[in-house]
Amino acid sequence: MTWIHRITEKTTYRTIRNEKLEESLTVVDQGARVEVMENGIMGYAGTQDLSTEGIEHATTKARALAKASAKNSLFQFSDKIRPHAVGQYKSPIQKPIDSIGLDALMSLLTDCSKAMKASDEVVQRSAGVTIVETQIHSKGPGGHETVQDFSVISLNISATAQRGSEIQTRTLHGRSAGYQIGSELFSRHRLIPNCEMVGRQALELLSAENCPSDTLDLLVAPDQMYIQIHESIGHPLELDRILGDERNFAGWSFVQPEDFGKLQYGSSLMNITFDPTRFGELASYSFDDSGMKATKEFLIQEGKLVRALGGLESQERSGIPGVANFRSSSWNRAPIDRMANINLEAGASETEEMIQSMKKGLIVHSNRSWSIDDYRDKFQFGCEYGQWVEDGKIKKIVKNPNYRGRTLDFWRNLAMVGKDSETFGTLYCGKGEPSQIIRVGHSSPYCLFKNIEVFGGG
Amino acid sequence: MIWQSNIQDSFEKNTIEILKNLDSQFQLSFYLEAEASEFVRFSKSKVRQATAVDQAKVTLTLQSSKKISRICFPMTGQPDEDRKRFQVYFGKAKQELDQLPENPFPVSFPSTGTTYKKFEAQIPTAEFMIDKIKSDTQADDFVGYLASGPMIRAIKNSSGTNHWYSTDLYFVDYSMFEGKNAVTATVAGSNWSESDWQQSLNDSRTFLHQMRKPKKVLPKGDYKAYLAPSAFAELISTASWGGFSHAAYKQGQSGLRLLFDGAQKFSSLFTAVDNYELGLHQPFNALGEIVPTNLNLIKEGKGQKLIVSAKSANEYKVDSTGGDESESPKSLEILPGHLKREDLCKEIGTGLYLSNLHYVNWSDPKTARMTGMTRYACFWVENGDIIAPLQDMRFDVSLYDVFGNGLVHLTQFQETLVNNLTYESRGLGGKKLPGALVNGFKLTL
Repeated sequence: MTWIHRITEKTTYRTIRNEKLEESLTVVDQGARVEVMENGIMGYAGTQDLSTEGIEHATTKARALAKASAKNSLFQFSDKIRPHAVGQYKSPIQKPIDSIGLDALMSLLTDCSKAMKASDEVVQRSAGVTIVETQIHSKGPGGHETVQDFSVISLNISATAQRGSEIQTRTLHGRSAGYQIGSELFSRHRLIPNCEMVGRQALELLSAENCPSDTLDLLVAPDQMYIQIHESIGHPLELDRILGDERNFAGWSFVQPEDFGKLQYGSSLMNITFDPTRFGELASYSFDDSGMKATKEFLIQEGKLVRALGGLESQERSGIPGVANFRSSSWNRAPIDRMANINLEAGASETEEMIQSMKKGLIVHSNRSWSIDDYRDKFQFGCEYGQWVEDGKIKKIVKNPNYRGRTLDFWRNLAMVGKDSETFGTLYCGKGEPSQIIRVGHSSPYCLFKNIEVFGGG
Repeated sequence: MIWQSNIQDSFEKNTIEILKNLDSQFQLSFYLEAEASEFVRFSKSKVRQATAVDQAKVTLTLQSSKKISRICFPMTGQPDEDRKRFQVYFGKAKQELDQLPENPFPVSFPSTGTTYKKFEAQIPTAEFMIDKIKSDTQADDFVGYLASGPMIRAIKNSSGTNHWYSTDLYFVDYSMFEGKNAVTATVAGSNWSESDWQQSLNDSRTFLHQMRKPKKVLPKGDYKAYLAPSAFAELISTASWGGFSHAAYKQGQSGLRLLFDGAQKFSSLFTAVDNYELGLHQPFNALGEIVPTNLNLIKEGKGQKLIVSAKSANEYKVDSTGGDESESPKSLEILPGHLKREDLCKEIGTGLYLSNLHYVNWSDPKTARMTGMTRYACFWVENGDIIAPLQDMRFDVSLYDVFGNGLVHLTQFQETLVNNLTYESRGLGGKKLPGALVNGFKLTL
């Protein structure tokens, strides 16, 4: 049995720095991944030669690899790993990407750069966009055919302020402002005030105190929550990691196969979903690369682990319930279990109510550094901008806020969940051998955690 | 190999055709990156997935006196199809020139002549490796992958520069597990060496055997630590994200800023060179500049030279060092010291033997502070003897501390670590590093 996935992708990078052109690059990629199943194992071949001869040549290679692999294969799969599917997906855009001209876009970015100049001390002002347009057209036996079109824009807004040897950089949402969206994102009246805020806050950080070391309440903003979810929930729940495939590179997981349905991952306020249906989030789609229909599923419900991030191959190997997340980065890589949109469902608290509840605490915004062990347990995150809270009130801005902890302790200390979610994501989640980068989205409200170790720089 | 000659012929033919008709108001360059790779990933000593990939991409850069446009597009190796693509994307680049703002820092496309280097070797195929893993590791829990095949880098521009570099390379990057104990290794090169392969497997088994004791759980605190070359590489790789970049330095994004300001220094034992004589990377960049064979980045602990691209050279009015856009070292060598392998544990005395580190990132770039985790075969050493494997620990250290006053010794031996990153495509380059014995390695969690 043979499946062919034709993938076309155009990525444009446009950046203005200090009101001048910094970068303009268009990358066009086009190729096909041929998948051939022989004796219960798949062989893969990627080619950029899309002629009949090119596809035939790739098919021969994929078949040869499948046959060679069958001599010592990890698992003999059934044909259920590639369900029959017919359908389409299109990113929910209001205005096509090309409805803004190149000169108008560059002019807007130049104004964004200018807007960050809160003073002469804001010495670097970078305004950039990454625009990705992708089509994945999959065909397989028995009329299997899906076509999915994605329109993605990621904003890269950054201001660096300098006074003597003190240098601080503030960005718009830690470079996590990526969405499935059209050129409606390029709204001048929304972007310019955001850029002004970034420049202003970079300047504020120059005068800020270093974040003190303490153990206290931590209120995490959605643009930091996205990576907290990503690293300490998304990756450890990937079923191929749990099964050991990633042990040589990305790592294993502290989660064991027998934990599903039993492990109390976090407090009862914790509800985590795999949601490929969410409007505008980076990894929304209708089908994964196996053809499995993508639906919203709870991974963690009221704190209890209920489902894994595993596609049909991992589900068949393990017997653990999973989701439609078998995805490849492009035509030149085989699909593996990936995160997609992993979201923390909204709770009931107002942000102000959470701040008022903090006797002594820290609010952290916008990720700037991340690190976690290969079992996804001991983590440390750094943020761009901190706000120090005493007696329920924000008292001052602090620079270089960091925090560290252990995954289960941290999530079990989740004390309040905000009622308003915000959506972020990244184009650059890395995993796999050979390595792949893929787009993932994370929505979350503000969340309050108790007894967290925080510290500053220096 | 047919694929390679198809790509070469098509690239030659199509670039020549456009360059010979180029209007004199333009400068134009074509940079080719191509590979024909086989990847086989293994888990539990069996095949998980096998993939073959033929890919080639051309970055076309078109510059007029005031504008620059860049487009990257795929090649197939079929001259007629590629001819259409070269013409289409050249046309699009010209079109974009009219719409883009002025290029504030134009660079002259260099005229650096013609070179042609082609290295052919006996590299393992996917099928060979599938058989090898089946025959050699069935008693082990082997996980990792083979990446193997020819790689090409070439540049041709309107100033007459014409460089071609192709090489056959492979690596097997793997870990071996016993329960949760694990060791990791990479076997890499041009020609397959059966003895190197068997030696690597046996070394891994020996290390695993040493890990069978209960794990030592350490309290937080400062420890004397030996960083094996692979562990050293994790720190220096993270430092290389902008740390040696002239643009990053000027734009306030360098984590080694204080070193290059002269406000901080490493130990006089520490000398770092971007050394292209190691032969790990092609000797030209995407613009066609020939890179110097040796660039002293850190000399005897003092920041010496930053890597400068042609664009930075123009912007900041300094000389280019042939750096590419990332301005990161491609072939970094840390010069060795005097500590002999047989004296390692004795010199550690009581402390940490760290084979590998994991997921290193800045915790405070200003003070060159980094955090990360211990991983794989890391041991507790007491009175010169390896006592027990370590429970994984988080660290948080300033490079100015551990490579400054904290640096006790560098080893006499170095290890060459090839670039084994395969995001989107296989990379060239690598590092040659000694091990480092340091004081004050801070464990935090």
